[in-house]
Amino acid sequence: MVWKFKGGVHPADKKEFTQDMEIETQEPPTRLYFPLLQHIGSELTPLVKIGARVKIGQKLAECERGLATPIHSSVSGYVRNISRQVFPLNGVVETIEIENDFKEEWIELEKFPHWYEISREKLIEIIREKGIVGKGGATFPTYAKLSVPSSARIETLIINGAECEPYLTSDYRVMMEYTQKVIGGVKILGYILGVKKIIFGIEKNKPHAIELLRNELHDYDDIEIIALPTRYPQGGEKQLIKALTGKELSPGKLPYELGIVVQNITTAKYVFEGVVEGIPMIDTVITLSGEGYNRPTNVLARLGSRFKDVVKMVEIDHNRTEKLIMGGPMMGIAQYSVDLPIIKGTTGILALSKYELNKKRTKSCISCGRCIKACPMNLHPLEFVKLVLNEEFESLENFHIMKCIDCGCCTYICPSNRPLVETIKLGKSKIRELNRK
Amino acid sequence: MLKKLRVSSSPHIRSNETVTTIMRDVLIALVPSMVMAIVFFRVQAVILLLTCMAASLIIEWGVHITFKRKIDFTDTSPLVTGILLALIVPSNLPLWMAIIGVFVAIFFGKMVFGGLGHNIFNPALVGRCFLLASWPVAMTNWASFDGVSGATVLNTIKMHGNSAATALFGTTSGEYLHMFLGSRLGSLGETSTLALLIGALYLFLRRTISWHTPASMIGTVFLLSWCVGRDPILSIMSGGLILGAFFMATDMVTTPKTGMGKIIFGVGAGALVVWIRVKGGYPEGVAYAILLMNAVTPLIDKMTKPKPFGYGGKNA
Repeated sequence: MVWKFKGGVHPADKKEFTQDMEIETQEPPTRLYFPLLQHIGSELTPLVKIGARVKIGQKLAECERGLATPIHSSVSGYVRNISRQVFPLNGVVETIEIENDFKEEWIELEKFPHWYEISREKLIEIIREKGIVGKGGATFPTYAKLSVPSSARIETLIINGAECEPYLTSDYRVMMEYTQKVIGGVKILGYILGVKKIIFGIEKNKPHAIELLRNELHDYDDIEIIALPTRYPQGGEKQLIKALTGKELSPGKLPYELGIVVQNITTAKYVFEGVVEGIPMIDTVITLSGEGYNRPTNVLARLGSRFKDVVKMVEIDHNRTEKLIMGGPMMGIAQYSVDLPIIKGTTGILALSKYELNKKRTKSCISCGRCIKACPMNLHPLEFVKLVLNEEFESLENFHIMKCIDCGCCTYICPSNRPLVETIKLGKSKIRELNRK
Repeated sequence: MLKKLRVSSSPHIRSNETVTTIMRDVLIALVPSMVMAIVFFRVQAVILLLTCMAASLIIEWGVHITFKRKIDFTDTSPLVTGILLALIVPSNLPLWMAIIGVFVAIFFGKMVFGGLGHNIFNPALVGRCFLLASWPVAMTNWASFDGVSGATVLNTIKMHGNSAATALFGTTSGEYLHMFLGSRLGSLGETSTLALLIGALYLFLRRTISWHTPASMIGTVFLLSWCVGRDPILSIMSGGLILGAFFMATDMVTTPKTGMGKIIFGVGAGALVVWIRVKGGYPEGVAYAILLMNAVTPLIDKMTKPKPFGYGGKNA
């Protein structure tokens, strides 16, 4: 049974450009850049010095305290520079620059093909060491999501294969091409959490993936593959839990308090590679799509490559490209340059033309209420905007502005093209600032 | 030199719906009613409609020029106001009165509040009520489609009861049919229930309006009319109820935003309609009922504030 979450929008999914394109492998570039903040949590400190030689899989940076997971070199070569540079998540961060020597030398990998003989704690430690983060968008370190308090009983593991953002097909291609690794990774995750039940949630616009996984997994009674309606934000964690279990996560609570853990489907592939093959997270599958490209496709790119190293593979047309976006069109981050490096959270680089952006004229709010209807968190976007502009921050908190998940449905749907999400983000950061004082 | 990339906050794509397309849909939905008006009232209807449409645009743009604001030529909302006002006045209303009505509607109904989106009351209804208060005779001097003037169905019910109204058309079924097609006395566009329903259906299919307000408003009038001993079918088809419920009470700016709020609005407006019809001095009360509910809309919005996800609220 599938429950319906409230709100949401139906943008054209535009997956036809790349969904049948097999993942191509990118030739590693000569220079690679590793920003030391690629996940939610603390910034890392470098473990290597300028001039040092590094091999593939070698740890470049680590942070012993706080929420953090290390990063590893994706090529062999020499550390050329460590300096503060602009990175794709907006801002400036310490970045390690490596020159590729094209020898493709790997470090000694520690493999655990018999993972089911290892303790759960040890497996979580391995996942942390391999630098694995969630591939769903928020790049939350996977080990932290698996380290639930011992008092919590986890009944259900949800594997998020919704991929509800338009254009993006990287999760879909991973399901199709790395099916066995995904299944292996899911089994490891299920073992770590000790769950009774595993549910795959996949949107109906991916029928081949649903069929493939059902065929592969039909011998398992405790694994279920559920086809979800195609509706954005179906893959939002709270919305997905609601759709698959009917449970609504109360504000301020984490899914494990309901006995649920959600993991992205591509994360499972990295968990398998990390544990069984010993390979740390050094690459990422990226969807290159949008009218700005002459040949949209999916690419397996080394972390640290710059956008221009991969977009040149598909012949980007700079005159047609109005916006370059890391991520999907609903929540992705607009980039100002193709010189920025690919990080762990990069699952798509979209080059959108002005026709695709479909920019409208901004007019007065006509109180149509479409933003309220579309809000999956059942909030009141148009009221937020009035309050933010009037700087009434106290009322804003009473209106639950902090519950906004930045999904973008309200701005997408608004017939007057009001800058709703932008204003709400401003309001939230103001409130955070006030609360810190 | 590469072309510069645009950087802004997410989301980066937009739906196709704009205020202009919403207003265009309303205009399309009003076409059947305008056609029926022309069929029944011939040249009079054509002249009145064209006058109101022209006046609405000229007055809107004139206000923009006077107050040194930029004219938005993609905004067709004044046309909607002009047409709606033409549809809710008698066909033989002097044209200068109609123009004054349009002026009051657009200037005092909308522009003094700050223009589209900021008005509290439905502009077309403000215009109509001003006209009704200023020239009550001209506003109730109905010309029928064959040029004979007389009393409306509601007036007849008020004065002489249900059976007298039936006598106007011969039989009960004949009465319903006339009411449904529109061959009866009344304002320009409110007589043909059929034409209004075709337009309303279009708005439903385009998802421009929701079912909440029309269903609750018409349902309330049906039930309450039946309770006070009036013919309920006649009650919902007579006067401006169908026009008001589908085209005025669904105005986005002046009515509640949530589904629950819309139902409260509809029930309130429906109850006021019956109250005014039965107890009030006027035979018809749709315009006042909607305007009164417009006034309490901010209150309804406050009462029906949605409960955020995870607070155990009902997922409407």
